[in-house]
Amino acid sequence: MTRDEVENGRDDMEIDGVDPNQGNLISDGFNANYLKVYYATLFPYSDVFKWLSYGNDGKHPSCDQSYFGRREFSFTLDNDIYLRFQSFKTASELENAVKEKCPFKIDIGPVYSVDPSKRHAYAQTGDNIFTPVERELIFDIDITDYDDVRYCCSGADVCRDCWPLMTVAIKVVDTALRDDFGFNHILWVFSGRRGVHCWVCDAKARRLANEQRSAIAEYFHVYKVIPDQKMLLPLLTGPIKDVSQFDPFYATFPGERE
Amino acid sequence: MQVIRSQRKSSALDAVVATTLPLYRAAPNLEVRLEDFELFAIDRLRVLKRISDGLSRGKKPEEIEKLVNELWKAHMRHPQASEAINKDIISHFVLRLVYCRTEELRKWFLSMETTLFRYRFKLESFESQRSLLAEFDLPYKAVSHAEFESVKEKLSQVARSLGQSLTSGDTIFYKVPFEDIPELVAGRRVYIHKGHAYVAMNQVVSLVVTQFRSNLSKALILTNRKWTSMIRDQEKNRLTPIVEALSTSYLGPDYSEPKEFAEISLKDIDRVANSSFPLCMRHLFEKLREDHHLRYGGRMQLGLFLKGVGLKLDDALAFWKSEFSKKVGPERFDKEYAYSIRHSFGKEGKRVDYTPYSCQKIISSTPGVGDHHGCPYRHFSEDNLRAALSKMGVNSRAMDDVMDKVRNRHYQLACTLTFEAIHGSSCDAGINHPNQYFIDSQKILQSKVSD
Repeated sequence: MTRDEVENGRDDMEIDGVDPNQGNLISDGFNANYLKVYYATLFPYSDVFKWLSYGNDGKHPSCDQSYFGRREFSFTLDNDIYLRFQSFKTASELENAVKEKCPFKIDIGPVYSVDPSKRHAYAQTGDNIFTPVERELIFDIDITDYDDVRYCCSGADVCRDCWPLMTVAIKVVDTALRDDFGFNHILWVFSGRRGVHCWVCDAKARRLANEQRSAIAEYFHVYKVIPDQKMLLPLLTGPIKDVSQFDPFYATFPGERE
Repeated sequence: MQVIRSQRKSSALDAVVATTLPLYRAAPNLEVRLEDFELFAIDRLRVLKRISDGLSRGKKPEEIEKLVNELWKAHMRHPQASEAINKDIISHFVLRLVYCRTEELRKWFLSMETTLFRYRFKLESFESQRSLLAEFDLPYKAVSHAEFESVKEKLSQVARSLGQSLTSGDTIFYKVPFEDIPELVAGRRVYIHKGHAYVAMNQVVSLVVTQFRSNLSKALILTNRKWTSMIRDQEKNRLTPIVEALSTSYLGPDYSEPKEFAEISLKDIDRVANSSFPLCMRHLFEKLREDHHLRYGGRMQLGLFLKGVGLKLDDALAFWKSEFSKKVGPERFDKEYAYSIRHSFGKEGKRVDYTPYSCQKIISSTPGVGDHHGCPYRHFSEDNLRAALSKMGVNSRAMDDVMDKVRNRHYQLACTLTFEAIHGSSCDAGINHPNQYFIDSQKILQSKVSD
């Protein structure tokens, strides 16, 4: 949001307890100090630790104590410096590093065969190697993927009229992931700007090979793009006997359906 | 191998049940003659290389299936029908030794053998496929009748979307975890529910091929270990030289004795150079005419090619002399260059009649600054290559295809496409040797003249 938008006071954007006309009290855009405050008071370190441990933070003998420490995090710092292969053994190590470095962006990478900070001690090929062993299955849907059917907005803009496209996408993908593939632990988050991320966290999903991951992605391709004709050719052929099979997805749309 | 023995027992009755498709699970307990060791492998390699060519050219599955059938019949038969399967098995295991030795070789071999297996499996009868499936010992259960009835509607929907129908012959479905059949999932060719896919009998190929590939991949790693730790040294006087030569061998004719177009005279040479020389030789020829000189690599590559084209020794000497004299003078030519020309014709020294270089050899050479030999598809910049091909008469549409091959480092395919574009006809076997290019070109041009 720019200063202009704040001061024009868009009715549907209400910031709790703040009068949009008091321009000077709120800085426009991103503020590194607020980020520091966020990291100091709001960032959910122990929840993240619990989530990404997938049960290995327990006490019983089958827990792998090394598991969380083998996860790679990457930090993008203020000056665009990109730090890869950050790893932490405990929630408090994670907390200290984040508070100290105040990264503008945190990415969650894969779980490796060994602690990423020790990777140089291992070979590239052969038996004892440093290689990813688990990775969540992630889908990234941007509203710009629908630019050819949006008429209200373009680029990173989103509004009430076009966001339902995203809703439909979410429902279709979520349903297929659960019903067809049998996944259960699915997290949908707003990506922060113009889309959503879908994190499939089942153990089976984390252990998929590249070929299987791309097979799932291709499963969702129900059209073929023909670039020079700017056409989308539907791949699903055959008669649709009963349009009502699409009912769950039509329910959100007001107006006609055929 | 059990397969062989049981076949021998029942071969008197020509039993139908025994499969003709071995799974290569264990090295055969057979005696092989040394010459068969090499010859069988070469025949199999011909099949694999043509498959590789077909795949790189983007042939469709139906075309590859046809190709496999033809190639197998052409190269892998044996005068004694019962020996054919031995040839199959032996050749496979010999090539394992050849292709286990580096990551790149393993990848190629794995890919080609899997493709070969896939299409051979498809060509087998229904019963044969069923029994092969059993041999693979896959942990998949056939769907019970009750379960089948409950998902029948969904299965027919999927069948319809593929333009097929659920015939009664196809009511055998297997329940398979989706991870095991990524290609079927990607193509939406199966009904999946809660992570389980219902795979029809005719789709079972995928499962079997995946298993085959996985088994062979592991086997190659083990073979490599045995090779490096034991076999290579043990066999250094017998099998090792054969194995090491096989992976880089050129398998076509050597063009040392030009047959049909034997007499090319000097007055023809400029004309045929323009119409029938491949780019590599054209370039050398042009540079020779321009600079009146070529360095050693170029003299060898062009000189031997001309010999293969049919240039006689006397004409060759006259040809090189006429060019080189313009730069170094006739006396220096006689003194410094004539000997090596006679040598390459086998008239001097150890009297070896050197054979013209194959594409493989030319591509792997490393020309330096001031050299003009080697393969232009590999060494020319994109601009230079486009200009040279344009001069040869390659239109812009074909040009893009050629460039695409070059970028993917398929230099021989690029040359083949060039040939096809210029002559307006296809070259199915692909270009493997500059002299082959020349002969095929002349054939086409001669037939056009006589029309």
